[in-house]
Amino acid sequence: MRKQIKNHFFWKYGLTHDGIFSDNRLPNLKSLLIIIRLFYGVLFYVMFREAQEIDSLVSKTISEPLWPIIWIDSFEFAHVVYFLVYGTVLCLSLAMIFTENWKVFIIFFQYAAIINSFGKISHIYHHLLIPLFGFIFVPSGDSKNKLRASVFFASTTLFLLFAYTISGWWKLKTGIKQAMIGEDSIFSINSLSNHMARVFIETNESSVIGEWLIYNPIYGSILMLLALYIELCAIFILFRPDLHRFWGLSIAFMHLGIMTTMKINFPHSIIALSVLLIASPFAQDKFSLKNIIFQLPLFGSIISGIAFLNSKKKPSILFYDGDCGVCDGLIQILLKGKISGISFSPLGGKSYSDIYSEQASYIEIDTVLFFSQGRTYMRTQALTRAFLLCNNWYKLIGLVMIIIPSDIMDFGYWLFAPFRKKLIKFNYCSLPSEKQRKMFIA
Amino acid sequence: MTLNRWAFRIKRNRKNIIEYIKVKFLKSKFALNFAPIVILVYLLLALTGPKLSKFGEIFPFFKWSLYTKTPNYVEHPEIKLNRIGGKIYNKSERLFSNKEILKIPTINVSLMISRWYNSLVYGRDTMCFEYQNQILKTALGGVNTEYELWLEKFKPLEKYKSEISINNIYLGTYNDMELSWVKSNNFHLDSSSVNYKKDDKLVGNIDFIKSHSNYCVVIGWAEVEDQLPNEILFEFDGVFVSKTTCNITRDDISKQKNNKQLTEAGFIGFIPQYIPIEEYFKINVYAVNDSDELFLINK
Repeated sequence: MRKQIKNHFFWKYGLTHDGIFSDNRLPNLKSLLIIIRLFYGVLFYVMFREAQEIDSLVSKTISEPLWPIIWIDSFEFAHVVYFLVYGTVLCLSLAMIFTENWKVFIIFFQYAAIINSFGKISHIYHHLLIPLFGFIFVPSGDSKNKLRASVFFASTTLFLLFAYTISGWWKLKTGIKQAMIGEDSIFSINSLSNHMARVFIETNESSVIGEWLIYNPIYGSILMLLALYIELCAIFILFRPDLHRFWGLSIAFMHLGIMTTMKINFPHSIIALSVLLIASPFAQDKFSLKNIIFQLPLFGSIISGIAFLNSKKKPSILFYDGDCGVCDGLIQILLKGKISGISFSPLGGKSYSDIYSEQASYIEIDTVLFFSQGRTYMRTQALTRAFLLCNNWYKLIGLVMIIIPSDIMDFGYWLFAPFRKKLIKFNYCSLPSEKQRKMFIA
Repeated sequence: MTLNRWAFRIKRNRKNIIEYIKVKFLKSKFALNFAPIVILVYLLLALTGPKLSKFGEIFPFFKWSLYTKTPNYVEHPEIKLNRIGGKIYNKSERLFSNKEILKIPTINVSLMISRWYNSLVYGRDTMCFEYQNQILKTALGGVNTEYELWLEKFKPLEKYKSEISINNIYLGTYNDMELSWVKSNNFHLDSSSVNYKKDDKLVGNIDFIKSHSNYCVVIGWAEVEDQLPNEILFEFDGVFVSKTTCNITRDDISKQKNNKQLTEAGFIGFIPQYIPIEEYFKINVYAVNDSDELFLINK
């Protein structure tokens, strides 16, 4: 399966030296199943509480049944509600023991459809449906399925992160549109204040913190931009397991803030976040603030680039794809830049195998790697560091690259990479000097 | 290669293609292609949902667009109660000031009112009566009720800080006995449209005309000789529409005159018949001044 992952257009990014599918990150099947069962346990409690208030649900009248429950008119409404609520509780208790995931999803899906059939689709259960759906496919039992189970678990995490990213995307898109026509937008000081004032007026609710933020809009605007950043960049977190817990907590605190200020509750989102991100099986227990900051989407590469610029330079190795004309061309450029303190080694060579040991045979090698002081930087981050080691005006290229977020440059590289071998062919190779030849290692 | 040839090839190799998809994507690479396929399907249904479904989304494919637009100027329909059960209010009161009578959360009631308002005025679907029923039955528990529908237009921050609504638009009185939105036609609104000078005496405009299955909505505003007109009259195909069905009466406009903030008379008129779009030009709206002179607004 590793071979398939290596060749897959998307998941190959998880097969890096420190990616979610690397040996030191890959969770064993047992721990995955514990997390899934824990999730069912929490959901069991939630449904148990809802079962206590079943009478108020039974007394309601369905006004607009959603498509999953179009069959509801054929039965007594009260019977259906009792069946679905107690059925969900029963299925959850069975799932905790036998991991029969699909039954839980089907029955909870019907229950969620009933809850949303009273004239308004509230979105409280949508986040819970994500793990319930994804966990259907997580295989259990055979430990050989470890990688397969991890892929499904990561897919489920991706769905949740994706939901937050599209939420951020709409905010960004609408914000730009509003700013262009001169309206208050998400980028304005009054952004959060406007939202809060509207909610408070429409619902006749208010909160102490919310009111304070309305009269002190600058703090609200900072929080709003922070929320936009957290939501929009959520999808980048998938392949950065060190950020899973941090991001999960950040989104949870965002929900907590909305709950405290605007009284809009998302308790079920917190459950989904806890299972997939805060308790992420791909994250390591070791906490490193430096790691988190350096991996932050958009800003992390800038901060780590500046830190590299100011650090004491130690011998580094640049691993490159020996079959790629572009990589060869880059080495030539770096040599012209009078680069020092670095060795060049082909990907898959002896040095590469020594450093990355057993993983060397299957991790993604479709890129450039920069190894220095025990840390590995990839793609454009690797190039930035290599250019910073140049000793003439070529260093300027590195300085310019520092201020461009590597995520944006990597996206450009991602578009270009599949064609690089076809588009650019170097039919010549300049002869390196004696000094330069010493820089090339096996 | 022509399209026909492709179609022929696909038809001939249909079994092979299905087998190819099964083997390549669903069996050997199912785990890997699962996420990209689900995301593509999700995006497709989430983005088409608002157009395909009357709920604005196909459950559970939500496009996560809550709170995306910063509210600059809000048009918020609101209900004010005149009577509920045996309790009669001397002065109509905001529904949300009486939360104890609501059977479901305020945020759900708020959405129900919005839907009712939209279906009533803009005719986005034909659920008008059902939505009103929902408010009566689900939100208010089905007790005898009389209430007014208002449209509040406000800038959220200004209103929150100063508690002054910029415009309040009265949209009729309703009760649980009959759905009287066509019958009670004392609709008027105070429009905040940009002043548009038509001639020396009349300023006004028709902002909106939309025909539905059995009625046509006309929305606009007018000011005659720098004052509110005394009356708004509607004419279709040379015939004045009966006063009981859609004129804005002197009484209604006098209510607006009492409000010193207002300068123009807004109106919503309901012409009780379907009018095809090519016959909109036959609709005439007149503003009447103190001397009972008629000024054609849509000239």
